Parts: sequence; structure tokens; C-alpha cells
Amino acid sequence: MRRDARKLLEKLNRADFAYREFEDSFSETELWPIFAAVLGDQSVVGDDAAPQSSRGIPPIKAAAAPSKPQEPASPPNPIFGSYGMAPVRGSEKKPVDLQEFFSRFSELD
Amino acid sequence: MAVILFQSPKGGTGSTFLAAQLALHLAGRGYEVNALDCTFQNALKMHFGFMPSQPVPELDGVEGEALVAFGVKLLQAHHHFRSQAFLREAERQLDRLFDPAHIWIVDVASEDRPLLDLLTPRCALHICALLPTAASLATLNRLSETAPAMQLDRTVFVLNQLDDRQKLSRHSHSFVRDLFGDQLIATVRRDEAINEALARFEPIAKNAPTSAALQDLRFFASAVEERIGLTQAVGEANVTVPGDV
Ligand SMILES: Nc1ncnc2c1ncn2[C@@H]1O[C@H](COP(=O)(O)OP(=O)(O)O)[C@@H](O)[C@H]1O
Ligand SMILES: [Mg+2]
Repeated sequence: MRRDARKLLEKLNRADFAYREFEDSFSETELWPIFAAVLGDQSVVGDDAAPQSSRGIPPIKAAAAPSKPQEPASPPNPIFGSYGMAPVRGSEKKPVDLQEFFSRFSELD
Repeated sequence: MAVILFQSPKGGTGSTFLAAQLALHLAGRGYEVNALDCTFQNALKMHFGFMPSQPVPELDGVEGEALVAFGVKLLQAHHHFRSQAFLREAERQLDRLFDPAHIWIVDVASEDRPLLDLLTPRCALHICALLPTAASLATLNRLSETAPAMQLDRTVFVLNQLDDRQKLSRHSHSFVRDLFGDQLIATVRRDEAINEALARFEPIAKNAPTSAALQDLRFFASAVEERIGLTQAVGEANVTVPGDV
């Protein structure tokens, strides 16, 4: 706990309050499966929807052999780039490695 | 003047609360504001200091005196909009229902798709409140049957009840911001002062003048004004708010 927080607690004569160290801003955004589901939903993002399975849980076997994620040279929509998912656009279809994402979740708290 | 719809495919996201706050803000800016509650809950009035037992006049205007608080005229129409015949009639003569000399803030229930479909093409703005939760984000695909949420040009989002102490809340914020860009017009922090003010039937500004959410609400209201060009559309009935140019 930071010193100023401890001092404040002392002043308030409290052992705790909803104290938490915030992580740094928004830079550490991770791809929660619900985000992946939204990005993969045509009713939300239209034709740019990232392909995905309708189940929220990734197939474990495939995740065991991760393949290299393919980044599009310049993603048509930055959202897909920043979440590591390439949108599908006509013929320049690129496979999206969701597995890689899902295997990352399991390591996060 | 303008119909502003509040409807979210998920209940409990703060539609009614935000509708009331926008109505109060616009009335404070001198606009003639009518707030129309189209929900069975009929809880919009509470945000204007009225008890749950307070009857609210119907939209058709046949019943009794006007109910006005803080410059906002309150009306309800849940009963009417349940009738197919009324919906059909409303479709034909919407301008007669919604006097164009006023700003109309309309609170539509989550489940009320027929009313949403009726009013969306005629509204200046459809405001959809979201929460930083999976249950709320999951309903983004229920906004329209004809177009993806991202392409709805009259629909904007407000991410409500943000709490930067919570990881999912922070991540949801940046996700929604990245996904929707300008379509996310404001965020409002979670603040218990909002519930406490409501429990006292008091305005937040009186009950908790330093509430963080108050700041956010002001920003939200200004963003709406700017979005629908209200700032340029000040009518003759309007008064000038001190500090205004
Ligand atoms: N930013 C907020 N912080 C804390 N409580 C909020 C906030 N926004 C809404 N609430 C509370 O959440 C509950 C649901 O809000 P309400 O406007 O009734 O939702 P809806 O109309 O979408 O069903 C209410 O009790 C309201 O006071
Ligand atoms: Mg409501």
C-alpha cells in the first residue's frame, strides 16, 4: 500500500476502504471472450465480423498447437487490429487465430 | 423540435435515469421539455421528486392537470402504446402526438420493440445505455433487425456505471470506445449518490453536489445537444442560461 493511502486510512481511523492500486490506464486491455463474441457478431459489426465458433469455450486440442497469428498489413478497421483480430473482407480472407487469444486468457487472472 | 429516445435491449442499464437527467439538463438550458414514460414501471417521475403513487397524466391529454417539475412536463403512455390500433394511428400522425414545439424525451422499455421500431425512424437520436458487463454487451446484437449496431446512424451509446477500480469496467470502456468511436457519446461513472438522491426524492445536485457522476452527466447532456444541433436551434420560448453566449 502506498504511504499516502495508509496515512489517509489512519486519519479516517479505518483499517481499509475499497482501496486498490489501479493498473496503468487502458493500455493493458485484454480480449475477454465477451469482446471476441461481440467482434464476431454480424449484428453488431456487420460484414467485418471476425469468424468464431458459437461456443464461448475454445477447443483445447487446437490450442495446444498454437499457430502464428496473422496480422493484416493494414486492418480496415483499427478495432480489429488493436484486439489482434483481423476482419474478413471479401477475397482477402485471413484466418483469425482466436485460439492464441483464448490460450492467453487461461494465463490471466 | 426533437424526439430523443431512450431504449436499451437490456433493462437496468440506466435508461430511465439518463432520460431524466437529460430532460432536467435541457429544461435548465431553457428548452421546453416533455418527458414521456412509455414503460410499465412508470418510474421516470421518481427522478423528478414524485412519489411512486403520484399519477402521471396520459399523453392524450384528456386527464387532469399537467405535472411539471424543474421545468419538465411529465407524461405517460404505456397503456396507449399497448394498443395495436393506437400504434397504427400514431404511425400516421406522429407529429400530432409529439408537438414539434417541444423537445421530447421518451423512455421506452427494453422489451418494447414495436414502439422502438415506430419511433426510431422519426427520432433525432436513440440513446442506448450500456453497462460494462457481459450481460449488457451481449445485447448489442439486439438493437436492430435491419442493420448492424455499428451502422445505426441515429443510435448512440452511453456507457453507464463505470468503475475504474474494476478491471472489466476499464477494459469494457476501452473496448466500447474503440468499437464505436463517436457513437459512444459519453460515459457515466457509477456513483451511489445517484441511488441515495433517488431514495430521498431529491436532485443529485442537491443531495451530492460533488458527485463525480454529475460532472459526467453534464458532459453527456452537452454531447447530446451538440450531436443533434440543439445549440443552434434555440427557439423563442427559450431563456438564456447564465454563462451562455
Ligand atoms: N451511474 C450510476 N451509478 C449508480 N447507480 C446508477 C447509475 N445509473 C443508474 N443507476 C441505478 O441503476 C438502477 C437502474 O437504473 P434505471 O434507470 O432504472 O435503468 P433502466 O431504465 O435501464 O431499467 C437504478 O436504481 C438507478 O438509480
Ligand atoms: Mg427504465
